[in-house]
Amino acid sequence: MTVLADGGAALSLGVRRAYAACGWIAAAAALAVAALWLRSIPPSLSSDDAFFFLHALTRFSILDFSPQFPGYPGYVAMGRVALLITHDPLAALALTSGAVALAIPPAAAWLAWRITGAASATLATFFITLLGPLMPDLAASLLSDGAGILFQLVFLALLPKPNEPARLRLFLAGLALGWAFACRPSDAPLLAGAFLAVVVIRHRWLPAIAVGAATVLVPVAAIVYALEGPLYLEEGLRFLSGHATIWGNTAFAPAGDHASWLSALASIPFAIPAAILNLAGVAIAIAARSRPPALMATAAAFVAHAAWIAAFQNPDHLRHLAPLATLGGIILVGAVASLPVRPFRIAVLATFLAIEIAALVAIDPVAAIGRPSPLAAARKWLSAGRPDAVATNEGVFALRAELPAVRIYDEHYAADANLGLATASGTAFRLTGTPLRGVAAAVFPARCPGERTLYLYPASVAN
Amino acid sequence: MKRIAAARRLVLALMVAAMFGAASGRALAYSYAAAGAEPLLDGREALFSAAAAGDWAKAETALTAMKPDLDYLDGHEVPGIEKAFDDAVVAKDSNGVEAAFVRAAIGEIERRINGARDNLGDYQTAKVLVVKAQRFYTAVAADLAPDAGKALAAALPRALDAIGNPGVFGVGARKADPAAFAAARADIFKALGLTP
Repeated sequence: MTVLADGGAALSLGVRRAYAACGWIAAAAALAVAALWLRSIPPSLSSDDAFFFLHALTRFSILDFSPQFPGYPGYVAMGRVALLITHDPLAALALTSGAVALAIPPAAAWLAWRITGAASATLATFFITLLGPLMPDLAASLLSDGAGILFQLVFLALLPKPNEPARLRLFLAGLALGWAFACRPSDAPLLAGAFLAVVVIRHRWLPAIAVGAATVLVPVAAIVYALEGPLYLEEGLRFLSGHATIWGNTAFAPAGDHASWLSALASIPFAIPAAILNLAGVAIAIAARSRPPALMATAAAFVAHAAWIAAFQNPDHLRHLAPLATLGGIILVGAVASLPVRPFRIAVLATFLAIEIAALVAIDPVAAIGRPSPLAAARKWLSAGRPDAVATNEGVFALRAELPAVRIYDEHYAADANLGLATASGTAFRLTGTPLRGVAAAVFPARCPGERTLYLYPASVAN
Repeated sequence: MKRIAAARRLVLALMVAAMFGAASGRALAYSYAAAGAEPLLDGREALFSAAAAGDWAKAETALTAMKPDLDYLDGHEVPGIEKAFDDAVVAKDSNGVEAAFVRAAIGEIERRINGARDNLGDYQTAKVLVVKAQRFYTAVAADLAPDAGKALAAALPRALDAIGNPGVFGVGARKADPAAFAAARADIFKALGLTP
């Protein structure tokens, strides 16, 4: 493939090497800054899902919500390895999600290198990925989203190029794909999109990839099934159905109840122009004459995941957009690398980076330094105020565990919650991610896009 | 080739059936909770919503779906529970409905924990019974006294651990521990004010 560097023929090899060296030093420095930022964020539970993962590090029991369905065994296994280092489950979870998130930009850069073979495209991908507005949430949420993305990138990057020995690479790629699925089974459409595109483009790769994936997934599935038995499947059906139609806030939820992905996207600074460029990149990649399998598989994964979240995921959880942001950046770089006019290529990537830098300024990550998650801040406030009752659907299980003296009502049971608040013997509040009409007793601001600012209202404020 | 085509059609049919099953299946509970239909939990929101709205005809309809389970509880763990619900509905007393529900949930916890004790050698059965006891605890957690909730939150996982684990093809297997289960059960019953 023609690459970004081709137009640099006028430059001497030495100068280009010097530019590349400066670029890599800047990349390493940026990654170090990101790591320092992450280190400055105190580990704290951001959601019930994080609370469930925390429990899973010491007891794995999916029916018992340690963690929630479908179990995320690969992510839990990595968390348990981290636990050997930290000896503290919360720190282990923070280490796992943080390390995974920090590994994503280098993995994305590796994939871009495999697709384009150009140092400039590789560096551009690194910065585009690192500056992605959802990266801080991937790192600080303690959740498994980053792990699925990371190992999928490894899968795509390991796919062989022409004239490369294929069998071992494909087996390793299969291992990575299997581990990605073990870490993040709920990203099945994302992973299936990439896998199916690969086997459609290169039929003969199927056996080696399948063997690699099976090497991971067969024992993992055996362990899960041995622990949970047929109830796992029953719980799976119940969970999928309930997630789609009730608590998941999906397109299948009762009319009027669900938010839209477009408005969710618009809540991230400058995300709409970035998304337009990403979509243009996908279109160019699909229409291009030269289509490396890894680029096409990346584009297929993007499309499959976009369709999946549009129908089955909760627009309140912006982290579901993270795979699109990551893959979209790689596709954009891969797609524009195939365009013949060098200044145009540079202009597109510079525009995208400028959009991301503007978003970063708007997000102001410095303001998040030293702050716990909104849920943890709310817990601290409630712990000091000692109300009698709180109704919420944000972190019900975590709040119950950490505030045993407070009656925590699940707002999914609205009638029960209203009754509980009405009969409270002391002060009572609603904790919500949706601003209500009324004066909030306290506001717990989000640290980054993907987190929800939480509002605490007196119970008298109607829901 | 015909066999391959037939196999492909079969796989496709199974996938479509699974998708339809997942999409059309009724949600069996209103919140993040574990396996299996539970009429008391599944009908809870409909009952409470109707009571809160003062729609007592609708409340009676919601109660009808719970009748078989309430009838069982009435004859075993919670004598008089059906009357408690009926009286609350007749008196149009939403607090009474909630109080009756808490009593019923405590009875269900008692029933499931005793069931797990009686099936301690059967890992799957015992596990689902304790998990269902946890679901009932979760449903009424906010309505229990703080100390009781704290004690239950600690004792229910101990009961699960005491069930043991079959391991993977025997590897990592752990036998059930009746003494540990009995201790956990005693703590659960004490927290709920039940006679062990």
